[in-house]
Amino acid sequence: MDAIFQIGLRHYLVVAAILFGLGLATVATRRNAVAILMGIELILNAANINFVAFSHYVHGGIAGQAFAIFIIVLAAAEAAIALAIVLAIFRNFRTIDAVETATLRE
Amino acid sequence: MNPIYTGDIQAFHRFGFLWLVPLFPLVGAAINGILGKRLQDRFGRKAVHGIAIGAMLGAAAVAVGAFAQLLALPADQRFLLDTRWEMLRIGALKVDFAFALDPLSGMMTLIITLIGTLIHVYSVGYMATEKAYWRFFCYLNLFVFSMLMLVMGDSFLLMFFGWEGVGLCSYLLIGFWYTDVEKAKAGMKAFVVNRVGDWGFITGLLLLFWGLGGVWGVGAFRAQRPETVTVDAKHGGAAMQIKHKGDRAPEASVREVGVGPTMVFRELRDQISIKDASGDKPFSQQLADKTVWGLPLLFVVCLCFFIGATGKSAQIPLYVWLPDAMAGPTPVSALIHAATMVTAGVYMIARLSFLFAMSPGAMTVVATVGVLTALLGATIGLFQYDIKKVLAYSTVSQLGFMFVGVGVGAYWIGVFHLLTHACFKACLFLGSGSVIHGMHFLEHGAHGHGDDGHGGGGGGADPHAEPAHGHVSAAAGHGHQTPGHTVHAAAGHHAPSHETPHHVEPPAPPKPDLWLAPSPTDPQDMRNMGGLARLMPKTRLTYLLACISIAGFPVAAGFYSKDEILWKAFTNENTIIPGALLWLIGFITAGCTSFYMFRSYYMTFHGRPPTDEIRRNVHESPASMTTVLLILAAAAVLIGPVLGWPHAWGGHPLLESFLRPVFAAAEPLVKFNENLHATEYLFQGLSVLIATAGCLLARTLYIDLDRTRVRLEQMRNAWTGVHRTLFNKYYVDELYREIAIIPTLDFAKGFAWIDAHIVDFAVNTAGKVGRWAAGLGGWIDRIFVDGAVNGVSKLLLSGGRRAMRLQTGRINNYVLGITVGTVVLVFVAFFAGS
Repeated sequence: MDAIFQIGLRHYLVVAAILFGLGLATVATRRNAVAILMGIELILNAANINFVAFSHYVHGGIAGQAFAIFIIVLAAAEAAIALAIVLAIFRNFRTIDAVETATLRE
Repeated sequence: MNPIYTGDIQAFHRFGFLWLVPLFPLVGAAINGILGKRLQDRFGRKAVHGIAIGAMLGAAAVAVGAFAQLLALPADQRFLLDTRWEMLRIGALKVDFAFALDPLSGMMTLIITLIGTLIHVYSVGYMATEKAYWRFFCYLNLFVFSMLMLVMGDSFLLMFFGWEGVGLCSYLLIGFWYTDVEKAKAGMKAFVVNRVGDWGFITGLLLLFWGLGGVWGVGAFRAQRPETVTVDAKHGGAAMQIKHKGDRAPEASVREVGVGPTMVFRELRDQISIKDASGDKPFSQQLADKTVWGLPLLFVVCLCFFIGATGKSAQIPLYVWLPDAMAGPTPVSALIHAATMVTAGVYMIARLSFLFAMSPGAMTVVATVGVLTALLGATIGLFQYDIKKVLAYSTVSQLGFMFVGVGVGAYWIGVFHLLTHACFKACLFLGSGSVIHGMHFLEHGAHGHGDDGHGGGGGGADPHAEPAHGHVSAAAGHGHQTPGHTVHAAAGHHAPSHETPHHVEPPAPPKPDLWLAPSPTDPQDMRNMGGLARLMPKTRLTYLLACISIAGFPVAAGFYSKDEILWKAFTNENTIIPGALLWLIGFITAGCTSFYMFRSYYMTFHGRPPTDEIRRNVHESPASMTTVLLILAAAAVLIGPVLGWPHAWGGHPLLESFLRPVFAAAEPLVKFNENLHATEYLFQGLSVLIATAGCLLARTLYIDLDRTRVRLEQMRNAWTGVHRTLFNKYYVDELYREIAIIPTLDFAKGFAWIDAHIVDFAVNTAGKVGRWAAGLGGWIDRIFVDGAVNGVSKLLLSGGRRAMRLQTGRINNYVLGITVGTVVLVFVAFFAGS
């Protein structure tokens, strides 16, 4: 029982996995472009948790934390660009529904 | 030891102007042919005949100049050569485009250019009303050009070119008035009959060529001269020396004697006369020994050439075209069908005398055919009524005499007769042309006023007709072509037993029988003439002189040539058949000649004019015509004594010594019995006697038809069969129709049937099979090939469409795909790893 309640690596990984699963489900199921972006944020953050957890428990040092910082910055940049694209799409199509704007398909 | 060859080689001199002689008429023909119509329209007829006669004068001037040049040379060097360019070279054979002028061709060239010029001048008057004036003069110039090529060409090739050229011009000029079907037909007949002869010519040429190659090998020997130059022969391995017998080397002399196949007369002659050291002639011996199909090659070759000559010079069996050729304008008859073209055969045999002299068989054939043709022509001429027909058969007959001359080996006399005949026959033809010109009103007047005296149903009362049966009126009346007359004419056309008036041949209305009565519109029928002497005095005078000349009275040219031919025929020892027989036939022919010529003269110019129309309408021809007639008549009289004063009278014929070098190669081969000279006077006396007899008989019978008409009728009725046969020319045309023309046409029809039914069937079947095969191919193409192509494209298209569905454009699907794919990969890695 101790092992269960003792917060350790395993807990972090479970949380991260759940987060990743939620993010993946969001990306896979939602049609709203903004919602999809939010799902991507979840996935990125799940990865961050893994980085920090493995760095803390397995590897040592701060390499994992540094990666996490980079990923957060990356995610911010990505969000900025993606939201700009979404805005442009909205201007053209009057919608941000990912299904209705699938014109590249053709 | 190398054999030494010597030979009597023809020396020659270069003369660079010869080519101008044929060039002038060619240029004249070209100008008139291309621009003639425009010239005639813009500048009138003067421009047209100015060009034509100018061309003739130019040619005549150059010819006379060249002839003078020729005369200035030593006798054995009289040979002018003008080489223009190399025409062809095949192996050892080399033929130049070259003209040669030796005494023989020089004489011919003078005849052609001088008489040609005269006849051009004459044509100005005769053709004055002709619309296609320019066409006539174009053809005439073209003819002179071809004829000059024929006589001046130094090789068989050029001669053959001229030979064909004159045939073409003859055809064009006979059919000059081609809108008249009969005349067009006559032209075609002449052309087709000449083709048969040309076949003989070219066959002989090829055989000779083949024989030369076979005898001496190709390019066997080359020898050099002058003097004695030894040359190693390339193929023969023997050295040759050729020595020229003349002391003075000509300025441009022969360098080489070509031995082997050649087409040049001079080279052929040279190599035949080459002798080896022992005095034999190895080359001519080899040629003489060669056989083809079991016959001596030379005999066959000469025979083939003679067939060519019979075509061109109207001998049995190919003479039939010449009388029909009179359909052409009369100047044409005079120039082509009397003076020049028809003598081409005689010229050819004279030119090839050295070949003919080597083959007694060929000489016999030539002389026999000649004498038989002479007799045939003369007998047919006896009872013709068409003045030009008389002259035409006379020409056939006289040509026969020429062939007797060259056939028995008396070449120069044959050529001499050619010369005298050219003068007196041209004069006769032009005289007849003058008469026809005068009588021309008949043709125009006939339809307008056919009732006033000389036509229509009144033919029986016509004093000029020679009525024999009651059908005359019907036959004469046929000229009107009315249906009613046609029935009568048909009855008249048949033998008297066919009296039923309804016996009419349905398709074409039958022709009136000219034997019974003349067509009243025919300006050439002598029964429509009479008493023209006072109306056309100059024409009459010249016609009479020419008659005297042809009949053989010693005062005029014809005697000197014809009598010498008969004499040589009698004394010759070259032909296989006895000379006496040749002489006898020729002698009888001479009598006939005198008779028919004076008959034509008296019927035309004496007696009473049959109608007043004639007295009113006939007039002397213009000066351009009568002047020419006078010149020719003078020549027809003078040429004989001047050029041919016989040996028997202590003379030495000028022409004989002039022509001797040409026949030098043949001379040793022909023999005449010289012991009979004493009897020559007797023969000359006989000749004069029979000529006088013929003349007197004609005079008695025909000088005054009013008196003798009844007697003539009686005689004609008594001898109907003979008379009719002769009038209808022994029915030779009908015979040829049966044995040659109809079978040929049937043959052609047979082939037409084969063409229509078998060849066309084959072609059509092939076409059908092709179509079917093409259809099959098309089907295969459509179904299989197109199917494959379309199938592939369809496959790709449908595959593409299917693949397109994978790309939905829905991000969700992609994510799902990524996820599932990753999970699968993880599982695979997991299990594969363990």
